Amino acid sequence: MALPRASTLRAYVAEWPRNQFFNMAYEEAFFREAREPTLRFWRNDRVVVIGRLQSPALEVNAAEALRLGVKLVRRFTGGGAVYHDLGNINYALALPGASMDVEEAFRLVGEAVAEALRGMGAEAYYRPLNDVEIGGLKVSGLAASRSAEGVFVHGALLVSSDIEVLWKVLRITQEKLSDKRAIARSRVKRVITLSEALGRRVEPREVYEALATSLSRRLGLEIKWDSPSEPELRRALKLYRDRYSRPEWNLLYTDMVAGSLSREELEALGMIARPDPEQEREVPGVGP
Amino acid sequence: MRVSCGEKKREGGKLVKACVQVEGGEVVGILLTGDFFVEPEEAVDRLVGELSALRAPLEMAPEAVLEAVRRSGARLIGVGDEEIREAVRRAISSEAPGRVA
Repeated sequence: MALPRASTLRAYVAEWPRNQFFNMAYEEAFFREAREPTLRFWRNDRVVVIGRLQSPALEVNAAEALRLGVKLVRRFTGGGAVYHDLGNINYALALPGASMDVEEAFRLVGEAVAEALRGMGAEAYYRPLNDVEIGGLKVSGLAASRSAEGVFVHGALLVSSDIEVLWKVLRITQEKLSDKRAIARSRVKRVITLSEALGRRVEPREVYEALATSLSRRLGLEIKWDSPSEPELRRALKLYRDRYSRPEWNLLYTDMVAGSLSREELEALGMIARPDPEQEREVPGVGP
Repeated sequence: MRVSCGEKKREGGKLVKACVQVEGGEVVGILLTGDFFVEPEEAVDRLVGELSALRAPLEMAPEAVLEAVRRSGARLIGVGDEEIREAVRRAISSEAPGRVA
């Protein structure tokens, strides 16, 4: 693992939960703009986030998502589909100039996350390739990208998410539910929230502090709590306009399978893959 | 032209789904989707481009896909040659059109 010389880890909470599309634009923006190691914490209101290489029709029950007010957005990193709501927290680490491969990056961050959760009282561990588990159940999943610019790793951590909605909106092609009463018991569905694991309410800030401390220690850097910069916000606005607010991006790879979709499903996909007019108000730099 | 899909999950790894467009007994385009990772990031667009422009006789398609992946410079993480080959084979031999399960 090679990290260019740096002494601080810049960390901040930067979130626009009600515009999941701008949130995702910001995720890419701060990686592209990063000049030093940077750690972002954020949350999304109800949305299915799919990986760079997924075909949305295969991953989301679009008509159901529309009914439940759940949106759809594609991230720029690979990996699988996840459900975010305000009970899920996201962490994202940009390491400009770093030259480790994706497996190493997963290990670095996965072990840091597990250590942070252990410090909070959960028996968490990193499970390759890209999971953090507690007692065989997934509590956090990671995705990553490596480019000429550096390495980027981000993850979603279930704190108190509504698992019932999760299983309604995500398509599971190979696992059939045989007992619908078991939906509410997350143990059956192989995920667990941190609140369940600790048997108590967990505040996001507590998790942010624990993650920041664990990551900074592993990276040998001092935490510097900060806030988003103008260049980061400007870049995010551009990426929002050019990419993340557009169905052309979010619905990539739909054409090939469109022929087998019902009209209801196709229409629903079109509606969940773009922000609603009122969501535009949430975007910084865009007036009412 | 018909579209057929096949998928394969690596044990303890990720899933790759291959959707092939078949015309006149030939594969005239392919899409690989799934929850695997690709590095470097710069290779993703090259990979998608190579695959969508791919043309090969049915029986040569699995190897042609692997060749296209190699040409793109992409390294897939979570699935390997074996899974890609199998997903393409299943797509080609699938009777059903590109139906969403």
